[in-house]
Amino acid sequence: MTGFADILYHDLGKSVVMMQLWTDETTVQSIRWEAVQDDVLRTRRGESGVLNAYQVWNQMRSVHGWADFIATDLGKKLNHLLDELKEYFEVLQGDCDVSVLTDVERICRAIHGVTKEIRDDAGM
Amino acid sequence: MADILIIDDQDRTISMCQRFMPEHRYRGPARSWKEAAEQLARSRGRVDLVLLDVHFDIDDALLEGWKESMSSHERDLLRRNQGLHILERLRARYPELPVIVMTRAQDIRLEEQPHSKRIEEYTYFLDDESLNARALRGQIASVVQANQTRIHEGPLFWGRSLVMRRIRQKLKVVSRGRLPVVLLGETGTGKSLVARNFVHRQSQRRGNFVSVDLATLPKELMAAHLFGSVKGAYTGAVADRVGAFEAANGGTLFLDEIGNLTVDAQKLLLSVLQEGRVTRIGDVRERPVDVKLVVATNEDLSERVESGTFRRDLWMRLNPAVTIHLPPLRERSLDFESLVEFTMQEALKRPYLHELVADYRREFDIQRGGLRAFFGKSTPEGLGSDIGILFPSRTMRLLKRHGWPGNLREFAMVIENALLFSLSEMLGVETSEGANVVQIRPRLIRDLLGEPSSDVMGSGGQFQISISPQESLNKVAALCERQYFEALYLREGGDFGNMAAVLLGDRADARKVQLRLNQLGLKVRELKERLS
Repeated sequence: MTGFADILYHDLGKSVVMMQLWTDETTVQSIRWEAVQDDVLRTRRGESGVLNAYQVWNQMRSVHGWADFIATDLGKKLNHLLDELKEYFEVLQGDCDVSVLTDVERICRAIHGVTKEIRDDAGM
Repeated sequence: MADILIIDDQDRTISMCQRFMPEHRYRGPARSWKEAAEQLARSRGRVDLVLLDVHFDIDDALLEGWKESMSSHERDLLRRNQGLHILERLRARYPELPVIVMTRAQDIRLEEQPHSKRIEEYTYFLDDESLNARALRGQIASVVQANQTRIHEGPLFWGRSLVMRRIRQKLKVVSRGRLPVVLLGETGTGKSLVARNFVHRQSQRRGNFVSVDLATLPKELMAAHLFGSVKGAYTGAVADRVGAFEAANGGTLFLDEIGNLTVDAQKLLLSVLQEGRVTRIGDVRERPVDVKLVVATNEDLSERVESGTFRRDLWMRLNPAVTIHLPPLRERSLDFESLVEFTMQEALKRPYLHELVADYRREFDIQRGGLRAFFGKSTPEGLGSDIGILFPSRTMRLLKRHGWPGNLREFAMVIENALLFSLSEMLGVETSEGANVVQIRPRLIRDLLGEPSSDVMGSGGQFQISISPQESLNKVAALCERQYFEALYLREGGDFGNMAAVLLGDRADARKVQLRLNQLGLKVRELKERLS
């Protein structure tokens, strides 16, 4: 599962916090909001188009190792986190909502943490 | 401020960098090696650093190392490792370009590697254990700074052009070991500085650096100066004397203007190079010497060899196969921005300029910081507490257009004077608004370079022309008229209406003035450039 774990971390785990890692609780809220919008709604952006976090997660289904991975505890945990995150997609497209902001930041960091743990475990 | 190329199949890295590290300039993203190579070629050596992703989800045909016969697994592996293939190409073409690979070093061991990926100098891996933004900023800053330090290597500044990078790479190789190094270049191209601050340092020899300018040595004393002498060896030799070779033992001896070696000195030098021993003039004792010899010349010594004025066997011993050609400044226009920055920083070390800057800060209540050069922009961004020294595009064009017969030495003097006059001029201004930007005006540079200024008329309304007694009256008259129109155009700031008012008493005749200008062969575009 080593290759799968690397891909998961690279495509989702790092990308879902890429902008947020430059913000913290002292950052102006509007900037934090822009950061989560970018990380969650435009998680991967290239010539083939824009993918949100859930679409990136869905793409992992076609990667070798998915079936084994999703059956693990961490796989289930990650699945739950992505389902939770998906609930916020619509409201993230609007103006800054402080309670939404802190929730989404928490979920994103959790996704990052889990994918990192998966990667580190696979490398051992 | 660093110039950073991002090689990544995604747009987000560059967005992130632009958003949160705006102090740097970014290029890209280049989504393949092909695009990266094009960007680097276009940048003309200006890129300071590359941020390189490892995974690339791009079309097969764009993948470096792709073959049609590859299995899907091999293709996936290639995509996931594409950054490392790109890194290999980068290293081959740009060996000293710093690259931060955006993965952990240990992660590259996970996939099967087609080649051995040795971690080399100038390649850095991102420690993303914390994936800490501050860490990335810090890593970029330290890599850029380390690279700048490498590039500067003391007083000599290499610039960013590929030709100078290649010279530096070649010098790095030949600086090691005991083979002599030959530096060829015009006066002022930095031969002495290269010998002292690069070759000697790179050689890591513990002995002294000794420099001898053979052009200034009296010929009758040359041998004694180089090889030493004993008391009584010649008239005036009142004591034993250590020669340059012994003084440089264990270190580096730089012989400038090697073409000036006398016949006797050539013979003795050959002997030292062959035997590794020196005998002082008038002595019988041989003394072993271990010297890294660097010689410099501004002429093609092979011609002197052919004419018999320079010994062939000595020339062959000097290792002419690795002659390093230092280009004249007029061939280094790509390096000018870098050279401006460098010579500016060097000039600021001079006490009188240092004090002038301190006065300037006090006068305009500018906090302590550095001086930074900017080019072309009207309003430098991200100055902070620094003073921006602005070199407008016209100023840079003047600098690049100049022939620089004195090369770097002349260049340094012009930049130093430009700083001195520009800072002093600003001190005379009453308002502090905009005081944190000092502009190096084209007119000042023109004056310093001795080029014709826009004030051809002068205060007395007189101008001069050169004529020969053989010239026809018509030609003299045409020359006078041409110069008059040129001077009037410049005095009136290019306003044809004003010129018409002076010449014809009516601004409405501007079109007639313009036509006459054309008839006289004066090009308005060139005249406009001379206006500052």
